[in-house]
Amino acid sequence: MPRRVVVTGMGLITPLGTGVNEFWGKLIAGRDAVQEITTFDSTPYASHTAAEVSGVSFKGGDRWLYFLDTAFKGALIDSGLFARPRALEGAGIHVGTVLGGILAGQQAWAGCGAKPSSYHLYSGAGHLAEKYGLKGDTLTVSTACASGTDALGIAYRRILWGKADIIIAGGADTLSEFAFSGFNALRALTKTKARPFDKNRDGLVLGEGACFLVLEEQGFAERRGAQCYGLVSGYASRSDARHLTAPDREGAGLAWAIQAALASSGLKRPGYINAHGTGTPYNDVMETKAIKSAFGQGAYEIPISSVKAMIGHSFGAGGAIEAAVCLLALKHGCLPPTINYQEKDQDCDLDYVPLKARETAIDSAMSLSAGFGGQNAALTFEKA
Amino acid sequence: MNDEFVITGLGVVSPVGIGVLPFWEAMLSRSSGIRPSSGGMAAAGAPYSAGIAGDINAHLDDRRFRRAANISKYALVAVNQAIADAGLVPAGWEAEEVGVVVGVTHGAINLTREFHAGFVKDGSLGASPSLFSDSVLNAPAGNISIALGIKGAAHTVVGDSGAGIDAVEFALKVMKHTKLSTCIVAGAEELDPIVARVYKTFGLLSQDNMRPFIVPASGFVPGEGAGAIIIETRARAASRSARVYAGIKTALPPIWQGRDFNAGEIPAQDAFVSTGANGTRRDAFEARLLSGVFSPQGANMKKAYLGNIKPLVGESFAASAVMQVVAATLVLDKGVVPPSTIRSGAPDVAWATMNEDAEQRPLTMALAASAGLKGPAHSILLTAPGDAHA
Repeated sequence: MPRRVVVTGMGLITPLGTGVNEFWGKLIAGRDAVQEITTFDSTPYASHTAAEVSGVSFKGGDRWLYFLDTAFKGALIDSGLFARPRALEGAGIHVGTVLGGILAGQQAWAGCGAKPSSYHLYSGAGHLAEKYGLKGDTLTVSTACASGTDALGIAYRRILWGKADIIIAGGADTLSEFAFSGFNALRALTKTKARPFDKNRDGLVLGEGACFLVLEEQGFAERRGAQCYGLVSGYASRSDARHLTAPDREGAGLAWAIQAALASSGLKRPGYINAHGTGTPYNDVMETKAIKSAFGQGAYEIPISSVKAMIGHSFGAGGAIEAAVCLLALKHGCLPPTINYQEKDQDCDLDYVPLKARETAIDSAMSLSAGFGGQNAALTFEKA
Repeated sequence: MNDEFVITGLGVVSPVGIGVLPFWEAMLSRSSGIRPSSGGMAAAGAPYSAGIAGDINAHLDDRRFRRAANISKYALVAVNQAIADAGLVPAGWEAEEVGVVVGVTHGAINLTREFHAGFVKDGSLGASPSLFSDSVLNAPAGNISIALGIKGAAHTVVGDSGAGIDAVEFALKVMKHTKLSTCIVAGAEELDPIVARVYKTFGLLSQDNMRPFIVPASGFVPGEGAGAIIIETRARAASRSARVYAGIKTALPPIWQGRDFNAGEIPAQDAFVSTGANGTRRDAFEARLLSGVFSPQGANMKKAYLGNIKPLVGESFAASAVMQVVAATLVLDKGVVPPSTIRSGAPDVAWATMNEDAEQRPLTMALAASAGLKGPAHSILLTAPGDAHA
């Protein structure tokens, strides 16, 4: 019998709150976490908003490591593994991140932080492995804004292929002036609100956070009586091979990733798609074209939403948070809304679940991510 | 499912030269590319000495990448060498059949710092969009996919000195379970004075050159460059009558310090071992790992010729790790074991053979291993093309 991969725990720290229940409750309520930036002085920039994690104490520590640790520990507790360290010893860790300890890096470059604890991107996985005593497969993946999705997809494959029984996988990134100034230079930031798929969308808002999922081989999970959010059933990654920052205008790379993920899962059409949905003029048209290319007329039957208008674009964390959203939508039979959507764009003419959450039972879901370097990734989830 | 994989192409950009031939000649003559620091590196108070790659622009024909970060240029040139060496024509590749895996450690750190300095100095107007796009660690993989039109998966594995070997392991696992028949694996790194200065503050840098496995540890010398290999399924290579350098497979699962392992997975044969030791205290872990396989008390008790390229090219992390694989491949291909750069008398590896002169020795097995500065040790097993274990 082929191995199957289930998700038995999740941990999140997001601008909408920490932990599964707080996050999901606010997400379904359509709460907007975007506000004036407090972590650095945004005065020199035209945009002044982002979705920040607030209300947490860092005790002078490293913000990125704090995010990693909070989400990781939350996932272990949620899965029931935190109290079973022996079961965890052989477990692996996959971390997706774009900028890792960039805040420590900025300090080091400025000459005021000679020994930053999170200087290297891979230090996060090492930190977690050491702290929680995990000695399985450790991997740090950096595929731009698809990092979290790829970290999960690679973990799914490794369990499917018999290389591991448990991998805790996800992503984490912090808001930084480094990233903000970069997206500002690329003229990708909105001055108002992110409006994914709306006719008047004019850019993205940045965010931050972390999310980890506990992926387990199904038999392994069942033997220990673990809860189950759902199956990870398919994954694919494809490249545009066109431009380092601009997505393929026709969405060919993303369409290939969707088709390959469907082929690996055996799914014909998911009951819901959580879109990359950044709110930039190019991305949302590209993504709509990719979905139409992959599903044809069937694309009009699939509810699609983007949560980035609520929590911002959190780079490597984004794909992992959005995977959690898909699993929670499966569990609760409720699809999160695309907030700030007001006017239909003729080039974005699918069902984007505007403004309000939609209660509907689904059996499957798909999460899409795209990033610099022409990265495209798709994950599918199904009820166990 | 594919079970047999071979190496059909090699590429190197290193401080001893750009190309596989100068790399091999340096191994034979023990010629080091490490020099006392000068220029910007010295001015920044960074390392005592360093291994700096030559002028890469003279080797980069594709003008689209002239303004890319050095790390991308190193990777592109090494990959182009490997593609040409393999006799591959990068056109009309099916997305399902060709992939890219790149191991990196620090990424395009020079342009990243330049971007940062721009917005610190001049505010929002000082932030350059082109510098920002190169700051992502997957830029080398993205640029390779753009240059060669590769529309399959392009992954970037981030890690320390073992990242290049981790990237090879990653590629082999994906190839085993998917339709991927060709995978381009590269490791790349560029020198940066501030990064070197950080290592200096950790007390990790040597004041002159590297002495792998020597106790007490005296530190490493930073380097830069790229290594690249082409991995194909044996069937794919045979179908196009490709030259096969070596068979390649995963050796041992990633091993954490203090963890038991089953060395029985490695055949009991004399072997060349391309070690990753870099003159830091971490060498002791690698020595214990290797002695568990090859020493008189080890599982296989066969002769192990220990080699180490780092006194020649410096510690370029993910890049030197792939160069280690290239070095081991060349030893099998040439039937020659180069003189070892490891001083005899290193107590932790006293059981091994460190030949003083190059030795004609057709071996059928080689191992590339790296314990890195932190994290688990990674290893790759290479076999002579016609060997039954390949």
